[in-house]
Amino acid sequence: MIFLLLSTIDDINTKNIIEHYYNNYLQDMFKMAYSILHNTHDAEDAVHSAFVGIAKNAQVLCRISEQDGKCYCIKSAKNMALNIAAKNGRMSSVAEIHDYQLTSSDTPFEEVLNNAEYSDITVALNTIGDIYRDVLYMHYVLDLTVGQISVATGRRQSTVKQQLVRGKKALCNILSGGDHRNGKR
Amino acid sequence: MANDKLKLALQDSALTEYLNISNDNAEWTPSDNFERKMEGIINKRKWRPISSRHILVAAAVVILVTILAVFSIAAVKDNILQFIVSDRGNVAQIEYDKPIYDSVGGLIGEGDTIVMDTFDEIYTLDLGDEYNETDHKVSDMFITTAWENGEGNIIILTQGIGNELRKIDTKGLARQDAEIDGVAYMIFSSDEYSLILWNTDKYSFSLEYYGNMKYDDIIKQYEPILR
Repeated sequence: MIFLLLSTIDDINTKNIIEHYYNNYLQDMFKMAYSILHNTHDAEDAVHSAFVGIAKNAQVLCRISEQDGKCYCIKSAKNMALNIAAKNGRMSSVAEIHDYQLTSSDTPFEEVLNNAEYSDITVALNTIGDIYRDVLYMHYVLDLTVGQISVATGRRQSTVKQQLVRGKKALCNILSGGDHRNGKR
Repeated sequence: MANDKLKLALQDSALTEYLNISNDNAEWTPSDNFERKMEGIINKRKWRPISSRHILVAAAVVILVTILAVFSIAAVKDNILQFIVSDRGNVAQIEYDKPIYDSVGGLIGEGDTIVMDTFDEIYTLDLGDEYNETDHKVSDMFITTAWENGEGNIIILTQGIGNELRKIDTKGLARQDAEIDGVAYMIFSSDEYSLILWNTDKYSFSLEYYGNMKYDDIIKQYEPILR
């Protein structure tokens, strides 16, 4: 019977958490998706895809704060929208997709962060682009696994891994005093 | 330390980015197609704001499941009691339209006002040390027991026999029907009050809870025993 109880509570918790974020942040999610796609139908598809992922990752939302949960939902809708935009061949109209000329760095990631000023980190994050920043957020703030980030963003796990690596390297390069976009220093 | 700095920076960045979204007052009305697709995920037909009353209803269901762990519910076809609920605005009138038995368990008929002779079993709740029994009343038709804890939360269990007409003021109460192991339960609840109604083949039961209920509290000790 305890299993039934726990199962009931887990199911109720999960259901409640999904309903909670649906009721409170649906509009924000749509606005984010629409700001990228400029199409109601596509934006609804993006939001729906985000909620499919939210349902799969519901246990994550149960353990994080309200504010982080809100960010998760909106980032998920944004990334789903970016996926749709890419499929629709509208990549060129999507801002902040940088193709960094990454070089290997001998300086460990943590050492670079330790030596950097907080304000510089903030500026660097705003420079590296939405996709890298979002996967870094999901990894470092929400403590999601690669699999969970894959569900949240609608991308393959291999893609998520690559984006995590590239995001960290891009941060490193900017904070180390170099800007390797387009091979410039 | 470095990761904490990055984490904080990521959170600040996210807050700044989404501030503008929330400030945009343009409202979007979901299409019918979208709502249909969402229905399968959130499993509801109409959008309604989540509130603590839903959690309370869920909590009441959990209490119910716990109680059923000890009750032996055997749904025998001729003995199932039926709720007849007439909705009269803010008042639900509930009649137990049930077969009536004589003192040896023979079926007399339906709808009579004959009262069963005795309570063959008396049910109560073992609520542990948190609750103290504050009231226990026995009449020909009802046995009512009340418990209260140090926070002023009250639980009342009522066991009844015979026909019963009960009127409940349902203004402000959410209703949810549940079926567990073939037995129908009717649940009314608000933020501060929860009422569960059900019956076995012999008795009617109501369980009332006054107070704010939290998940941690409800899964602890609601285990009834037979006296």
